[in-house]
Amino acid sequence: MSVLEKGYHYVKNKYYKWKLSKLFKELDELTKDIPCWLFFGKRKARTEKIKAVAKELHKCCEAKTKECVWLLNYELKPLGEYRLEVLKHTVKDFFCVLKKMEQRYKEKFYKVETSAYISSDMRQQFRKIDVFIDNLQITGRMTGSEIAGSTIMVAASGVLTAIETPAAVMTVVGQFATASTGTAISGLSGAAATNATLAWLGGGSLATGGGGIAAGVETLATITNVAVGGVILVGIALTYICHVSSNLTKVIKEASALANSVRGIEQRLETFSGIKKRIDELKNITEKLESRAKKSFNRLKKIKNFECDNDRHVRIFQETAILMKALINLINTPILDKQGNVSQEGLNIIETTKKLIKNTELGK
Amino acid sequence: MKKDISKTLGFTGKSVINPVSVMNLISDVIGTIKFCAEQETERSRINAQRDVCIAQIKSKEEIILDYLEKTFDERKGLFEKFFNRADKAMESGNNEQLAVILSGVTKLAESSPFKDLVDLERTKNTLKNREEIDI
Repeated sequence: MSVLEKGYHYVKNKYYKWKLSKLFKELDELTKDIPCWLFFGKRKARTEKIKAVAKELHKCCEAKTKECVWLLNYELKPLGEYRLEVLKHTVKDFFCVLKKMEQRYKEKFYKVETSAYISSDMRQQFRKIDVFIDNLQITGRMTGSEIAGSTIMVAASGVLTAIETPAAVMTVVGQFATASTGTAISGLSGAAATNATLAWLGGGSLATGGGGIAAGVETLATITNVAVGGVILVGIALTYICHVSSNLTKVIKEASALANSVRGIEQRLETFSGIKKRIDELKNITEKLESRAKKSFNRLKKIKNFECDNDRHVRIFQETAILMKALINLINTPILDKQGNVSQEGLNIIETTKKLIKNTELGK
Repeated sequence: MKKDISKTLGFTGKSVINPVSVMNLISDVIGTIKFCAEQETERSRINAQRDVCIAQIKSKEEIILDYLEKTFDERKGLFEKFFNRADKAMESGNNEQLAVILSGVTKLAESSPFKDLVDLERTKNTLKNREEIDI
């Protein structure tokens, strides 16, 4: 993750932002002001064009989400690495001293620890963290962004994959253009051709939201009632006109809903700047606390013969322990909530998108 | 295929135009025009709805960005105050006070700055009526 790489992803992110605004504009132009004189063949072409732009919009949104997640990981890494360093050195050194003192003064020292608000539960927790640091130094498994994103004791894998959810959900929309039935009729034969034709007359198959074969048969029956000579052709033409018109409306409706969802996701991505501020905030206060904890710890280390009855010694130990405890809690503080989301709002957008995809042609 | 459809439709090729059929046809033409007009109206409604949605999204974005800026500034100020008090407690050797102050620091750090974004309407009102919190 070099600066050059960051620059590359930053430019890509900006490019997708520009492309998205271009696609929104294009979609607006395509869906608005459809002249009433537009020939029906051209209306069908317009419908296909809207579908193509919507598909492109989805692709672009997915790519932009990926870029944003990459950039966020890039910002998270230094905080994660810094937290790791604090754990490996400052906290670990304190634990070593604590262990020695516990071994040396035993029961007497536990009273001192209790006076420094270190309960037996906390001692257990400290031990677990100590083991965790040892394992970390051996395996080095957790990455900087994992440490930064979550707690010390909980493996934080998936913190940023949760942010990627909109992209994962939107992938389903990738099948956008495969749902059409009418175009495939020419390639079919026999019963399949008849069924497809009937379904087409019914306004598309049931799967695409049309009336299906049953509606097609009904349409044919209606045509039959007026079918005398060339009049049948006019009947078919009227059905065709209605079909093209309603299909255009349906596609506009779905494309608009998709565009609105993409706008919502894009807005959420733009507010990722808040996470950067959160990262800076946590790094800043961790640094402040660490400097105070180190200062106090150095004073404790200078005491050559610690005496559990010496008020000054006990007070310095208390101070160090309180600061170290706060430092550990701070390192334990996740940047995002447990689901890896910035807020419930983010989840709502994802849910809405899911429903949208499930209920429309876009998801098939 | 052509033959089958002709049979299904009862088209023999010798038929004479029936006035009833013509009337039905005219009625169908009118129906089609009406249907197309309805579709036109529906499309206009969708476009209008989309414009409303865009306006809502833009307004939400403004609230979120405004909230984030203000909330981080406020938190920064609070942390500064906490650390000043912590330094004073350390200087005077008051560990009890130090423990309370540092517990405040960690609690503030733990509280998500994004939590108020769940309810944007409430956030909007909070931003309007915000008062400085004293420690």
